[in-house]
Amino acid sequence: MIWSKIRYPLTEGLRSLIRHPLVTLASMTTITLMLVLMGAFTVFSVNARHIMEKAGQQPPIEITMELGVYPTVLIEVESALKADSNVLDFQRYSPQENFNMFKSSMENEDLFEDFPVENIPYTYSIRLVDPDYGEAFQAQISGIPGVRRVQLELTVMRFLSKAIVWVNYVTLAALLVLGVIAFFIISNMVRVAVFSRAEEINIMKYVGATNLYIRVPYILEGAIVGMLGALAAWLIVGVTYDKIYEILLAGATPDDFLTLVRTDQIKRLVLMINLVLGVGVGAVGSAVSVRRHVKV
Amino acid sequence: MIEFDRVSKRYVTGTHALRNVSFTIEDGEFVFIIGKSGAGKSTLIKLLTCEEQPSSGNVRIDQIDVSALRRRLVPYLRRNIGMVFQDFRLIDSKTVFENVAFAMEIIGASRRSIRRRVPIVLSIVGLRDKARALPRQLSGGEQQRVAVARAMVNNPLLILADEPTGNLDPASSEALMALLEQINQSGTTVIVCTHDRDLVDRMKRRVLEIQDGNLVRDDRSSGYMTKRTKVVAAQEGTDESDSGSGEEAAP
Repeated sequence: MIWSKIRYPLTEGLRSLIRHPLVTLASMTTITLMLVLMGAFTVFSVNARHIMEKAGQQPPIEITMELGVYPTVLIEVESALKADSNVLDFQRYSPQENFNMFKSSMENEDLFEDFPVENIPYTYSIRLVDPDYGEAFQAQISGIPGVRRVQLELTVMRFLSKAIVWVNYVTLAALLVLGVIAFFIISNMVRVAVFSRAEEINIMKYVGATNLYIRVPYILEGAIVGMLGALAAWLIVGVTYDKIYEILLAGATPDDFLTLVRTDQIKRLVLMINLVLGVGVGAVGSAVSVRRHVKV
Repeated sequence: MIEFDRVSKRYVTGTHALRNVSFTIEDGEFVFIIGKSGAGKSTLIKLLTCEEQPSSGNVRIDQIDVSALRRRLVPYLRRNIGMVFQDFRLIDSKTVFENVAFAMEIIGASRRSIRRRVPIVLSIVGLRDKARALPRQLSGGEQQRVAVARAMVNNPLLILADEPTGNLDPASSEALMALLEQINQSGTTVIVCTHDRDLVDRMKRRVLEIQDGNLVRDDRSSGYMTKRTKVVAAQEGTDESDSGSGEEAAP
């Protein structure tokens, strides 16, 4: 009984695809183009965010402690850093280590042999998960007794966080514009399909077909076109990204600062976005169009 | 029982298709609706199938006011009405069997019951051996019989035939009307809109005549024209076959 109810919408939805192959091809191509463009934006956006996050995680924050602090103060600071989920990692540098680094950066290290190490403080280098959190972090750590100064590279961090916001805006705008275009194209495809089958639809109405029964094949048709377009676009974006990744990052390691997101991650993400958008736009575009043109 | 209770229909264009029309059709009746083109016959059928709503008055089928029926229930009403059209309205890409089965598929009938019922109905209309043929491979009369098979396959309470013989030769028309009569004898109400004077005269069934949106005649066991109309037509030498009972029709 259930099969007899869904057989018609299913078979008609599939049949309709081959009944007007050129219209189907045109719709699918447009969806594919839209989703390739969308995929390109996604790849750009994800990689931009990835690079920005990596850049933001380079230690731009340094905590300088008071001279001669007790170990208990250091423990307190480290507990605060460990408890903060936004702290990606931190590194403590003792006065001796700081002195050695300072010396090695000088041309003539011998000049500093007698320099008293007690005059150099403990320091911490911090990497944050989100560069946006920098100022709040500064305020919080500055309040701990024994902390002399928290230095922030605010200019870089502000630029990074603004850039991420803009990339998000551009991606969203592209998604909306391309989504609307695809929506109208799918609607048009369904309109052509409905008009070409107007006679059959009329007959269906006369023999007692419900709105849902008449509309479902068209919605399925739109969803299938959307899905095929999404898969084609995914293939194009995936293959292209593979090539770009291969060329640009032949000798790089994933921990490098200027690295791209791994191809399998990108492919998974693009596939998911494409399927949701393709099937969604296809089905909704069809539903709206068929709702307008088919009324019992 | 079908009941038109002071039904008027005025389209947005201002055309008055029906004016205060009232009549009742009992279950199992065979009724002709006649009238010239634009008289309001099609509107009357559209009101029965809920394609249109009356501007005033009520249309009731089995006590149910179909003029106030919710849109989502309309398909369920139509499943009890078999429709036959002048232009057959068969799906060209489907075989005879599939065209008839289509009406059953739509109501969710199982494949088993479709396989059992469709051949029976095709036998009734005399087309069992043409089950695999496409509509274009059939004559007009045969196509119309397929349409009748499709109309009757779901055992409707009512069959509405809109100019069913309009595209048929006299022999095919005769065969079709015999078929409709046979269906009527099994208890199904049959309403036929037609211009075919000979047909109406020969069958001696109830005739409702619509003229300019008014019901001008409701004769039981009557012919296409009243005696008076026939006299006037003979005197004037006019052919009334395309104009219902004409200007002289008595209400």
